[in-house]
Amino acid sequence: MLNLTPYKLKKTTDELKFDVIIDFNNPVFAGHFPGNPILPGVYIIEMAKECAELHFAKKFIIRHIKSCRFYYTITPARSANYVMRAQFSESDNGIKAKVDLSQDDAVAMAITMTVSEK
Amino acid sequence: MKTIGLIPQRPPFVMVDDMEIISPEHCRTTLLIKEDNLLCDETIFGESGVLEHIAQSAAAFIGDKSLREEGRIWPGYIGEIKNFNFLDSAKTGDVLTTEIRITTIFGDVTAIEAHTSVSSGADNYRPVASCGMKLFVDRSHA
Repeated sequence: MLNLTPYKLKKTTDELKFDVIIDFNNPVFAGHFPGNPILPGVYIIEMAKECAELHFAKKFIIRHIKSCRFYYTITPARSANYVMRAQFSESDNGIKAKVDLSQDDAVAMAITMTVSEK
Repeated sequence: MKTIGLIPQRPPFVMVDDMEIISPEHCRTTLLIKEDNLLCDETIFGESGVLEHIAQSAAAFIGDKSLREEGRIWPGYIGEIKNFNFLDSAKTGDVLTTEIRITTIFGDVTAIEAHTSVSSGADNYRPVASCGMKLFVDRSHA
C-alpha cells in the first residue's frame, strides 16, 4: 500500500461496486496544487487496481493500460464521494479490468487495463 | 535545468528533478527516487509513480515553453493515457530517466510519447515503462 493515500475504498453489497471517499485534508493536496486542490489522476488508477485486489483478494501489478480517460477534475467543490464500478475477465496475460469512477452518473475516469499477480 | 518552477506541482507531490531540452519536440528528464516519495510503496516505486513522473516531465517541457511564450505556467492535468506498458518497478535510490517526445499540440491539448528507464551508472539503462499521454493545459485560471 502507498503511504498516506488521500482516498478510501469500501466494498458494497454489489461485489463489482465500491464506494470511494476522498480526504481533501491529505498532505498531497498542499502540493497538488497550492490553493487549488485536485485529486491526482494516478490515485484514481491506484483505486482501480485496488478494486481488483479487493475483488480477487490478491496483490496485483498493472502490466498494461490500453486506455485511460479523465473527464473532469475531482475537487472539494464537486464532491468527496464517488462510486467505482468494475468488470473483470480472464486474459492471456492476466486479468483484464474495465473500471470507471463516477459521481451522480457523471463519469470522471474510465480505464481498460491488464493486471497480473505480484 | 531544474524543473521546479516549470511545473504547477509543489512538495510533497513533485516527481521530476531536472530536464535537458534536446529539441523543440524532445526532452529528457530525471528523478531520484527518495524514501519519502508519496508514490513509493515501502522501497518500491511502481506504476502510479512512473505515470506521475511521466506526466510531470511533460508538464515541465510544456511549462518551459509557456514561460518563454506567455510569461507564466498553467495548471495541467492528464487527459488520457494510451498503451501504457509497465515492465519493471524502480526502487528508492534509483534514478529514473524519461524521454518525452511531443507528437502534437492542438490548443490546450499536448500529446506526447514517453519512455522511462532506470539508469545504473554510465550508459546502463533498464527499461521501466512507455506510454502515450495527452495533457490538458488549463488556461481558465486567472
